[in-house]
Amino acid sequence: MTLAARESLAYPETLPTRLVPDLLDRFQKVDYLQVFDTGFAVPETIDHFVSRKCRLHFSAAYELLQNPPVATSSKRDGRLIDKKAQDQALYQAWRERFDQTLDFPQGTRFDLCFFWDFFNYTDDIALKAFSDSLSPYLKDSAVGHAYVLLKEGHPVLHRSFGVAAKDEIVVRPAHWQALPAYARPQARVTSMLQDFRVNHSVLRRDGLLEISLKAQLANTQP
Amino acid sequence: MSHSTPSPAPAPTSSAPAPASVSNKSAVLGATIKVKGDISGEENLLIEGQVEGSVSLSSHELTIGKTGKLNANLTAKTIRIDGEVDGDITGKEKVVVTSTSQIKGNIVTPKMTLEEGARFKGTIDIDPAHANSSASPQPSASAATSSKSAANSSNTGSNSSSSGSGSSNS
Repeated sequence: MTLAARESLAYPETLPTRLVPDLLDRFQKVDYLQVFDTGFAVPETIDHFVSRKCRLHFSAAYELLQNPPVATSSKRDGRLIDKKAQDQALYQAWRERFDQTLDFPQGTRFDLCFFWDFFNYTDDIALKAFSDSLSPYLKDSAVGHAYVLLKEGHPVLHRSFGVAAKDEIVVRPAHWQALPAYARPQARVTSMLQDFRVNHSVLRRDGLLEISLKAQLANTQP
Repeated sequence: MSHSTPSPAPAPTSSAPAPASVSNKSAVLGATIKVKGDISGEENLLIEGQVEGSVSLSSHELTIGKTGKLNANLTAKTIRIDGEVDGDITGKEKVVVTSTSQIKGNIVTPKMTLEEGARFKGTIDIDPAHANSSASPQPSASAATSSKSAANSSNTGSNSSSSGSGSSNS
């Protein structure tokens, strides 16, 4: 057994959640549930969904953040860097990276998205690119769940998450390398998510804002 | 886990010791063996070697041992993965993914167990209704209903049937 595996065994913790039960209840009568998870599969999530017909997609999107792309813009005015062009180039670089990972079979439409704390490790440009890459694969009725870091200094980073029960989230130390974090107001985070609006939010004692998201799709799906 | 399997072969032909992860007698593809092609058979199989192609044991158990490295699509009644698999995995009854495994591919199964410490990224299609149907003696009952993975087997090369012991139940 690897060291990471031993550490994860020693540190399973559960967090109560007031928002996930509502999200799961929406799909009790759905025959075939499609779930997107930004992390790796964990035993608890598998166990929770194994009794129903479903497709679970674990994207391990955190891995994509380990080596951020470096954008090189060709549009330069003398020695001054064209910031807008550079941002656009960076967006394109992130978009290509996410598109490669979020390349689902045609017809894939997710009902439920567990973003966990993924947003906290993406800057605005990366978050927008991620959202746009995921957009074609969302149902009109899609809902999501996330933890938003509002202020720096809380010891709530670098963890992996799973669904232990309807009202319990299991948390372990993440086995991937620590990532830089971006603390932001909720409004700024959601302004990057073109397909979701915040449905409910709960400020947790540990400083994270737990949010449930509801689709507001404006895109044309393939 | 119990299951019934016809076992026409009376004794194992492989002298390799079965690892602790395999409870039943199985044919063994040893750690130094490399296969390019399609493997199919009617008995349990433990793979500790390397396979490039496909493995199909429609009504038996397939175990990928810790030293096993497969670039192949896998189909079996139950599949346990301790080693490396790059390919799609269809377990007609169950798939067990352990902490030592490394998997790139999609999993289709009615019942799935991810052991503590295991890491998996990819897609898992679960349909518990097929677990009940595959409990019947009909080995052709398939759990793979909705994944692209089932149609992905396009390996070419020499076919080889597994040989070795017949299976017995614990």
